[in-house]
Parts: sequence; structure tokens; C-alpha cells
Amino acid sequence: MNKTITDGVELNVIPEQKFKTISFTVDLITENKKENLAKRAVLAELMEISNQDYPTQSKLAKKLSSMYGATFGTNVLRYGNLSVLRISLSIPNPKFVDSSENILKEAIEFLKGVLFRPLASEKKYDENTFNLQRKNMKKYVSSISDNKRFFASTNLKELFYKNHINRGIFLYGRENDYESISAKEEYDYYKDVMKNDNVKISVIGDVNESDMYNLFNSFEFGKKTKLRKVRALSDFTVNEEVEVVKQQINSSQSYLNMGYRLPFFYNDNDFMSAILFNAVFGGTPQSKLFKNVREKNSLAYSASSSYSSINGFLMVSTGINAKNYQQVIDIVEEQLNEIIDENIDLNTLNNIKAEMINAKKSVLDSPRQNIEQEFTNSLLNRSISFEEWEKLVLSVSISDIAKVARKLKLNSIFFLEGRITSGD
Amino acid sequence: MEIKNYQQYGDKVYIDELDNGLSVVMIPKSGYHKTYATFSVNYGSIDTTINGKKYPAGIAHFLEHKMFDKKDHDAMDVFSKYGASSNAFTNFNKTSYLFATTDNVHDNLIELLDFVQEPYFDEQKVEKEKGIIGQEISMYDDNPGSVLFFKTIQNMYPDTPLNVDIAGSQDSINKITKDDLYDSYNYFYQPSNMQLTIVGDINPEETLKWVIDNQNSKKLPTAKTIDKTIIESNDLVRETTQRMDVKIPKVAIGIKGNNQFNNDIKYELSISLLLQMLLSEGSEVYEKLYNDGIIDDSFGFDFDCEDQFNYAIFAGETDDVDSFYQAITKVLFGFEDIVKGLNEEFELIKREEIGQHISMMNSIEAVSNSVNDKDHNYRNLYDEIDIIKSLQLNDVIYYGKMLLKEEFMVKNIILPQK
Repeated sequence: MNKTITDGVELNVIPEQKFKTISFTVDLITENKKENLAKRAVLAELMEISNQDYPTQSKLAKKLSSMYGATFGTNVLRYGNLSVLRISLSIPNPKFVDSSENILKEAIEFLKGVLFRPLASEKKYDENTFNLQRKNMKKYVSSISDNKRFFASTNLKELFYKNHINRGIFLYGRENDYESISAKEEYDYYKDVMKNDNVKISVIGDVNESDMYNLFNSFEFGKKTKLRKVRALSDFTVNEEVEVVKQQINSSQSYLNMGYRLPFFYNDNDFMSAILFNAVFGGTPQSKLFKNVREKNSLAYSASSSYSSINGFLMVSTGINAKNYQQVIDIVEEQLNEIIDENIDLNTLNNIKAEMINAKKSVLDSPRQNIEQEFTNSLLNRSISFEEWEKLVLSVSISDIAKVARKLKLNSIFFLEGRITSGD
Repeated sequence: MEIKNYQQYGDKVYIDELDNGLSVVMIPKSGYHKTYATFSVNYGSIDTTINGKKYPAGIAHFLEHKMFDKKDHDAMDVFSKYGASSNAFTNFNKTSYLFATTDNVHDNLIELLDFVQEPYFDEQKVEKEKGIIGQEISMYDDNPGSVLFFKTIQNMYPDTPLNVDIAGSQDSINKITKDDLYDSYNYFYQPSNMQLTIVGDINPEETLKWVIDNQNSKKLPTAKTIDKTIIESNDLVRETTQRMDVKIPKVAIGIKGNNQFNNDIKYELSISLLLQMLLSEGSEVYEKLYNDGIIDDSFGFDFDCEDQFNYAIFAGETDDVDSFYQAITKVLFGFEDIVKGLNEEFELIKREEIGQHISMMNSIEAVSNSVNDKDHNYRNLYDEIDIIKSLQLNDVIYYGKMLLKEEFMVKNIILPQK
């Protein structure tokens, strides 16, 4: 149950006895803005590395060891127009460790330090700590092209969303964004985040809801003046002609990514048909792309699709041999037409549904996935029981899927073309 | 059926060995929705010799791929029909087939046993698979992280089957024939060389009966002795450098361990604790190197201790390759002076390791993957906690001296293109 602590600050406690851990997340939520990407990425790193309570990385790591190997980390995620800075902490359930210390209280105090006691003085972050994290992030951003598959999909997204850049730009921004920020600006940004970002706290494990409420109530988050909401990307204009960008790299494999507009959103009636369309097209190992591009024609090691129900975006990703470029595009097109023509095997569809239902139930076996599912539901303002969800999945027919497929429009292609040149 | 009761954690492990030699391990986890079953063979990429005859590198992995591809259907589709997701993987000394499901546990389990115990290979399907695995090998070849890892192992073991990637090479897989697959299958896939591990919301007595009935209904070959592959390496390649399309140099140090300690659990856990004391984020050394910009968040290490070999690898990205090597080797080969007297830190690291073992019990996959085979008394993560508790700083120093020897070190560097 989500409980409001104050305007824009919510707590969700999921009591669950089967886990041997207690896990927490604190999500800081705001509009994603390209001018803040670098500051936000560095802030996440700074929060992870030290604070006034544990002013060095080694002191902080030792504290985690003493809480029986607590796992702790931060990251930045995007949900359509929103950016989420996530702080995660997990400790073993105190009843399984032979210790008299109250590690549950310690864990909550630890989170408080991460949020409210940054390693800063005179309104700026500690210079050395800040500069090291800034440099490390800059280095990381400069090296994303090393992971070719990821690099290709990042480029396709930037191409696809070029008129909606905050939804598509690489989440850590550009290398040169990291050159100009100072320890003072970073601190100002931290203050802004604490003042304005909406907050959702989640707890899962063998805990009591009112205890948690009392403990987190002592966190001094002020009232938030603006409440952040996910907005579907409904005003997207599809290119009249497909935009193709090619880039050459030195590698034996090539990566072909195709970006489509699929104008169905999480709050639409046809939402589940769109989910199943993606699953049949390329979203699962049972899908047409997997079976036909990969298995039947041996044209690719990988061929898959993914769908964002906030942005109405579908991406096909393949790892191929460069010479098969046109052939792969043709086969992808052919598979889409098969779906449009309702040429879908009913057994396969039923298998896909069974696997989806299986995966949905499995979510409840993982503390992290459990929290994530409830977080997403609350963000999308959606509450659906498992039974309702299952009924919806089972109700989708082949013609429902074909209907959705007819609306799919190819908008952009990004091709990372591998060429092996002799190394010297 | 033997039952080990780990009362403190509220979990039990059920163990049985069937008449045909198959080991069955079951761990009930009530309240869980998912059941996870793994059917594994002690057969991996290093096992390329049968009765003196050499088979092409990558054959174990090739066989794993082909196992799903039946005469008129794909075994994956059967699992899918029963709502399960299935997968398989091959490593240096093991091949595992698995499924995870929330429904139809019986039907999925029988399918797992049947599809692995009823091989079907034909020429045409074998030829087609070469294209798919060829692409897979290309993908690994393009991945600097994967190249760094395998190349470092190859430098440690140049005179052994560890000298080739698990998937083999384009050349070696092109040589694989249908008959090669049958030869390997018949030799290694015997029930006595296999184990079935099931974790989830199961009733162990009922589940065991399903397995026994299934096995009794089949004519399986009687157990024959399998010659274990021995990795005896007297050679190493001290240093290699190659260029790839990377922005920042990637470097790795490997240290080959003494075969005497292969799968000695005290050695394995002691080394893990030692390396964490030396180089995890809580260590003074890590902090200094991190603050000096010599290592960053990409730095990591791994210690692998198997029946046939054991080695440690340290790797990271750095702009200053020389300083990286100097700093890490100084720590590794001067470790005794660093950890001597750090009793408090040692207790802290033990506490962390114990807590992480407890956290792993959440995950039915992690519980399942921790279970060892009959030769190691089915040791699992519950047992490991007791061993960790018993370790002393002296043990760690003793074993550390056995592994961390400069003469068994190799270096491997990937530099950006000029």
C-alpha cells in the first residue's frame, strides 16, 4: 500500500516473510532534462561513494561489511519523460545473523546519511571527491562505444527521438557535459533535487508497516510543490521517408537497429494487444524474428524487439554480418507482414502467453523485481490484480495483434557497419 | 534419501542417488512461485579427448545447442507450451540444461529429462548450426571484455584445452560432424556423470518418484568409467598485447594456482576472503589506487577453483597501464605485510561474506547453482557459511602464499587502435 508522508513523498511497505533480506529503495523523481544529465549522473555516484558519516569510500564500504555485507548502490533510470535517481540498500534479515546489533535501525540511519548529509561544506561538494567522480563518469561516457550492441541501440534511440530529445538522449549525456560542471554547481543541483524531486520509498521483507512509517517519517523531506507524472508520447510525427544513418566501425559483426512508431500506450485499451504483438514479433525466443532471422536463415546471432508503452516506440535490434544488411531488413518486413495477414500460429501465441504469465508470477520471488513492479504501477497510476492481468493476456486474439501491427510505422534505421581493417 | 536440515535458515536439502547413478538434489522453498530445475553433465569445453582421440574445440557447446533441435520440433517449444522458460549453458567443465516455471512442474521436469536423454543429430541440422554458432563466436570476438578474459586464461594455460574459447573457433566448429556429436554424447552423457537439481515449491518425495519412474522407463547404458580430463600446464605466456576498437586500455593480470588445491573448499574460501581484504572497495589499497585514478569502478577480480584448475584474474580499465601493473602486483606479492595483524578487518570481511551467503538464499537460482556434485558431498551455500565461520587469518595467509606467486603470473593488455 502506498502511504503519503507529505505532498510528493510516498512510502510503500510490502511485508513478505519468505525472503531472507530486507530491501529498501528510495527513488528521486523529476522531469528528465538534457542540461542536467551530467549533474544527475555525478550526483548518483557521489551518493554511492561517501557522505559526512562515512567520508571515504573505504569507510563507507566497511560500514556495509559490518551490516553483514549489505548491498548498496545508486543508479539513474528513465521512464518516458521522467528521470529516476534510485538508491538501493539491502540487508540480511537480522534474525538470521548472530548479532546483538540492530542492523535494521543502522540501515535506515545509513540511508539518512546518504540523502541528507552529503560530503560538502561551504555550499560545495568536497573538491577531490567531486572531481574524481566527474572524471570517472566522463571516462565512462567516452567509452560506451566499446560496447557495440549498446552503442548501436543508443544511437538509434537518439535518432528516433530527435524531436523529443529528453526521452531519447543517452541518459548520461555527452562527454563534454562533464567538463564545465563545478563542485559548487553540483551542490546546488543536489539542493534542488532534495527540494523539488518527488520521492517514493519502498521496503520489502519481514517488516511491520507502521514501524517503517514511523522510521521514515523522521526523514525531513519537505512538501513538494510540483507532482511529477508520466506522460505518454502521443504527439509524435512519423518521418515521411525512413531516415537511415550508417556508421562504420572496426569489428567483425555489424549491428542493425530499426526504430518504429507503435502508437499504443500503457493507458490504452489495446495496450495488452501491443504487448503481445511485440512478444510475437521479436520480444521472446518464440517470436518470428528469433525463429526466422536467427534460426531459419542463420542470418544473425541475435534478432529481437522491445517496446516502450510510455513512448509508443518499438525497436528491432540485430547483430548481423554486414553483407546481409538488405536481406535482414527484407526478412524483418516479411515477418511483420505475416502478422498483419494474421499468419500467427495459435500454439505459438498460447505458448507466449503461458510464458508471460509464468514470468509475471516469478516477479513475486525476487525482492527487487517486486519493488520495481509496484513502483512502475504507481508511477503509471495503474492498479491491476494478477487475475485481471492474466484474463487480459488470455483475451488477446490473433486479429487483435494484427490490428495493432497495421499501425506500426518504420521511422529510423541506424546501422553500425563492421569492417575488419588490418590492425597495425 | 538423505536429508540435511539447515534449521537456522529454515531450509532443507534432500539428496538421493538413483540405481542408474543419477544424482538428485532437491531444495523445497515454500512460498515461492517458481521452480527451477537444472540437469547438468560433467562435460565441458576442456573435455575434447575420448579414448585418446581428439575432437574439435567447441564440441561440448555445439552439442548443447543441438540438443534442443529434435527431429520434428524444438525442445524449447515444449517448455514454452508448459509455460516454462528454458535455457542451457556450457562452461569449461560442465554443461547445464535448465528450466524455470510457475506451473506444470511435472511435465516440464519429464521434458527436461527426456530431451537431454534422447539425442537426435543429423548432418543437415549440424551444418546449419555452424552459421549460428559462427555468429556467436564473432560476437564474443568483438566484445573486448570477453576477449580480455579468455585471452588471459589462454596465457595461463597455453598448453591445455583451456587455450581455446568455450565456443571454439570458426575453424574448429566447421570440422564438427554428426558422428562427433554422438561419440561425445554416448561417452559423457551417462546418468552416473549427471546431476538433477530442483529448487522451488516442491514436495521432495513426490518429485523424486516422478524422476525414478521416468528413469526406470528408459533403457539407459550401464555406467562406464570416464577418463577425467587433466589440465597439466607447465607453460605460460608472460605477456600479450593486442589492439581493438576500445577507447581506454583494458588490462588483466592472471595467476595460475597449484593443481594440488583444485576444489579444496578451505583454499577457495580463504582466497576469496583474502582478495576481498586486499582489493575490495573497503580496503586501504583500493581507496588509494582509486583516488590516484589508477583504477576506477571497472576494476574487479575473480577467483575460479575447479576440479581441474584454479586461477585468479584481476582486470580493469586504465589510462596508465604501467602504474596499474606495478600497483596491483605490489599488493599481490607483498600481501603478507598488508594483511598481517588486520584481525578486525578479517572479521569484518567474514561477516560480509556470511551476510552475502544469507542474501543469496533468496534466489532459487543462486541456491541451485551453489550445489556441488557427489564427489564434493553435495556441498552448498548453507555448508559454506560454517566453513567461513571456521576460517582464521592464519589460514588465509597460508593459502595466499600458495597462490600468489610471481612466477605464475601473466599479463594481458588490450590497447585502442592507433
